[in-house]
Amino acid sequence: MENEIQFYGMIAEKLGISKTSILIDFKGEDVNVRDLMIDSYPLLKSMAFQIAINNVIKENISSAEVGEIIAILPPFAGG
Amino acid sequence: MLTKEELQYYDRQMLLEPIGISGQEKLKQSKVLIIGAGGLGCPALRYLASAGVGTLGVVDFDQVSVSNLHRQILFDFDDVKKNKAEVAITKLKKVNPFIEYVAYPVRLSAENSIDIFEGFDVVVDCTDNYESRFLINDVCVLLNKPLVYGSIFKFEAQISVFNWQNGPTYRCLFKDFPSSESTADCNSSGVVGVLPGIVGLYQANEVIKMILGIGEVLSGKLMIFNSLNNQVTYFNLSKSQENLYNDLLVEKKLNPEKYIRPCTLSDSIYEVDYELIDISNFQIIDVREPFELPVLESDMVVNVPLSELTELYSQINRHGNVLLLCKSGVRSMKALEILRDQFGYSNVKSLRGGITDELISKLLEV
Repeated sequence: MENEIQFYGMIAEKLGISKTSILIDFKGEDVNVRDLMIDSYPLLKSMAFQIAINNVIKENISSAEVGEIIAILPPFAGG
Repeated sequence: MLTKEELQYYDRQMLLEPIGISGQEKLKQSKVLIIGAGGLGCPALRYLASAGVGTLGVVDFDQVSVSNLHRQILFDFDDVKKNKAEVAITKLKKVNPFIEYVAYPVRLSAENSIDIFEGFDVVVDCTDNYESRFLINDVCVLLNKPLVYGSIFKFEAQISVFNWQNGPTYRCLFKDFPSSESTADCNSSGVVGVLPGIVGLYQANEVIKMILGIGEVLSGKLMIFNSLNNQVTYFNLSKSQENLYNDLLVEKKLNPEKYIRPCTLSDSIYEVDYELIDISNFQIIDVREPFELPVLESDMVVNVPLSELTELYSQINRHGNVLLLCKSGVRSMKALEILRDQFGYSNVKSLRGGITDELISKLLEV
């Protein structure tokens, strides 16, 4: 089963997608989503972002969270 | 003590049971500082003034320009080129003459922020750049003031309340400055005026709830609103376990260097202040779009819009000094990075803070 990824703000714009999904290979342990995202989308390496899993801000995802939504949240500055 | 006129003015608001006369008096006793009288600050100020917040401080060094008017609702054409903080207060006095106003027509800095913040109970961040946002957060942490945060990117907005009753702070969400690649403001990315209007009112609403002690304050949560599909999403945010403020809280003072974007710290040779250079020695490249005002009518200036930079970059000299400029200094820094990284330019600098009236006068003199 896959996890849905939702991209917000400038990251969605730069990647050209606001939603996709990913099949995570847990290999029996938690996975760092930041590393996973940068591996999958190298553009993110130079961008600031926060990660939320099932609407909770955190960096690691466990196999128990398969099917949950991963949100990639860049900072906004406009006002 | 509320006067007869005030009781009449606030009558409909005081009808609400959790407010009444005692709530209205709490509002009258409160002091709220709004930083930035722009797209967010104007609506927030308008409603906080009407609600009867006793003292409103307004910080903004900037002047009203025509391109502000579609969203900065306190201003009109007669206000162009006047200081935003001062004009805002002139307008608000007509809306509610029963409260006190304090204008700070200055650029917020590590040097002046503590003195400005000290007299206020709540701080509202209505700015448009990361330098100010991190500075405001740190001053709020240092002085233990709650911070009401709002920011936008195109059709999306983020809203939260930081440092409220020992809750998480802005740095618990975003620890440090983003790179300039992650940077965009309304001047460079565009905005429909309704969105900062909505967000400014959310910010005003959080302030009123905090002062009155009613409802649930948006602390420990990041709210994201999408104005295109009306989706509202909340993300739970915890206080960081890292000692984010060790130096700040031990030294009890701000280090001005911490409030300069990393790209300008590490590559400080790339960003300059016009006061420190002789602009007659530079080829000046205006990277704004052709429709943007004011038009820089000078033989020294070449318009190479950021949107067309990769096609038109050959108009930019490879040798000699080149100065890139835009409205705020954000797009010129992006242009610099493109020229440097994609086209190998090593002779370009970006004008810090963007175009000012003083610079325009200087260009006309040359």
